[in-house]
Amino acid sequence: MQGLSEIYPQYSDKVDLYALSIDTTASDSEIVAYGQEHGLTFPMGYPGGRMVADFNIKQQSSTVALKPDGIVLHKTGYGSGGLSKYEGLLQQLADLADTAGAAN
Amino acid sequence: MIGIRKTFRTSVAALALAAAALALFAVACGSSDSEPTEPTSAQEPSALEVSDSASQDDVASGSGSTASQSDGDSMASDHDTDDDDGDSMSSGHDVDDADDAMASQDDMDEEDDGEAVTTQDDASEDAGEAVTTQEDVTEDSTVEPASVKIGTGVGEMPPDYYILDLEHKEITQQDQLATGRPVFYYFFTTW
Repeated sequence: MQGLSEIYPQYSDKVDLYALSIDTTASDSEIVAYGQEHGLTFPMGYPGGRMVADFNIKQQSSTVALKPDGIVLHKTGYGSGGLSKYEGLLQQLADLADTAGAAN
Repeated sequence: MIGIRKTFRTSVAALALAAAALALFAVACGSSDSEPTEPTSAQEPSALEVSDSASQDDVASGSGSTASQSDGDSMASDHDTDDDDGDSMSSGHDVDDADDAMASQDDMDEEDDGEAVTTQDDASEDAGEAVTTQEDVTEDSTVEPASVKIGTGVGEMPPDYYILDLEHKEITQQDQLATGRPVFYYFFTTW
């Protein structure tokens, strides 16, 4: 996640990124401490309601990418593809944001 | 006696001549009654007036083709009247035809106006429906395209979801869509 935090700033003006804790034992203060320790550059939080079940999230480092219209663009399990995969996804999302902005 | 007979024959002949003259006069009078020139010329201007008024109405109602047709009929009536100087019967029919044409034209004008109004109403109703449809499409498109399946697979629209920030404030799917920005969720644990 540290690598993701390093590349995100160049996409932050076009793509929203949230780190969502699925650690049910961690308190809010522990989550904040974890973020500070790893120098995260994006907001943190928790999945609400049935989100984990609906998206079938079973492992850490799982990711979900949604297009500007909310449609699922990408969904992977545990750390699939590594940092280069994340960078490619962020670039694709940024391009979609440009397209949606031009259409509007 | 012979003189009386001659006088009688002369009287009979005179009566016969008189009767013949009356018959000719009657025939002549009958022909002059059906003389078309005067009635035609007397009614022709009214036909033109009706046509002109019909034309004005038609122009007002926007049906220009009907006005052109009525003008054409009036010109044909003028032409018939000129030709009918030597043929009174056909001229009389032409006058009747002209009257019928006038009545038909009036009927057509009234019917056309009525239909035009009805059509306008229908068009207005249709336009209203079209607007309603447009609004429906717009509302639907802001939620989700009708052809998109609800689900969490690639190409599907996720069911309603929300996340919580560190202050446990909800950020809903609709909030995210309102931003118009794509989103990337990374699920992690602290261990």
